[in-house]
Amino acid sequence: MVEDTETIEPDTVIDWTVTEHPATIPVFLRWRMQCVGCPLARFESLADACRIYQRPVNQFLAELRAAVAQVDSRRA
Amino acid sequence: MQQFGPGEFLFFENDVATDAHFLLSGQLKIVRETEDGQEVILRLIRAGEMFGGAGGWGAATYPATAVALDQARVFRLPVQEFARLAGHYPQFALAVIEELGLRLREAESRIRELQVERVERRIARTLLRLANKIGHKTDRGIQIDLPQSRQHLAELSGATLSTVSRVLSEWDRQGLILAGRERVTIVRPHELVVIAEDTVESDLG
Repeated sequence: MVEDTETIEPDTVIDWTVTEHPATIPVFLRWRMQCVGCPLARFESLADACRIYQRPVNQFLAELRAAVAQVDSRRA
Repeated sequence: MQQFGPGEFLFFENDVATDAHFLLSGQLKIVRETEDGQEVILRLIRAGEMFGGAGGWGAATYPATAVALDQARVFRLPVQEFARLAGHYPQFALAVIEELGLRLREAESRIRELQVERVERRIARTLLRLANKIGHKTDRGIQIDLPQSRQHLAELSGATLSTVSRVLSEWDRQGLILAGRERVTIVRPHELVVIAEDTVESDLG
């Protein structure tokens, strides 16, 4: 589990991702994944979610990172 | 005798119930609209079946809408005539009673199903709450350490001990959880959430 770094990786916890980077929420919704607000999101990783919903991990993570990067670039 | 094409309406919910209906050939569906405008199919009617007969046993209006699914040939019997037939021919009345008895049994078994679904949801929700509070991730899943787990789950979810035992055993058999005396491990968290929240993936679509 990677909860202490700021990177979005397959083993990053879902709950941490959406809490630390709310910009990722629309990505979950767009991919029709019901992770946002899930009572077990703090136990499951992004890879778990992709496995459950049968989504390609690399592509999904790329979109999450892009969403985060977009916010970061606006802040900069 | 009347003929209807696919998608054609025979009558609408809340229309005055003037006739009882018999489907001679084809197929149709009895539907109702939910509050949010979604169509729910109550029954599928096949050739030889009676439908839209509520007027025959006292209803002022049709309780649902009938829609033809293909070419449907329908015999309409005015409710006054229906009552006259039932009065004159006990066998007709008995056949109607038999049909109503069958539907009542169907409705009762559906109610039982819904009651079971509700209790499963309550138990699933209790497990999720517990997982959130005292769960920890292990190799096998999210583990909840809870002595006398069944007794506690029963008390927390307002179900009987035997119901909790039955539901946990069933989930264990399906591989959703590992049910032990001192702990419960959620092996397939997503599926438990689906049971608890009664969601389907298309809900987001």
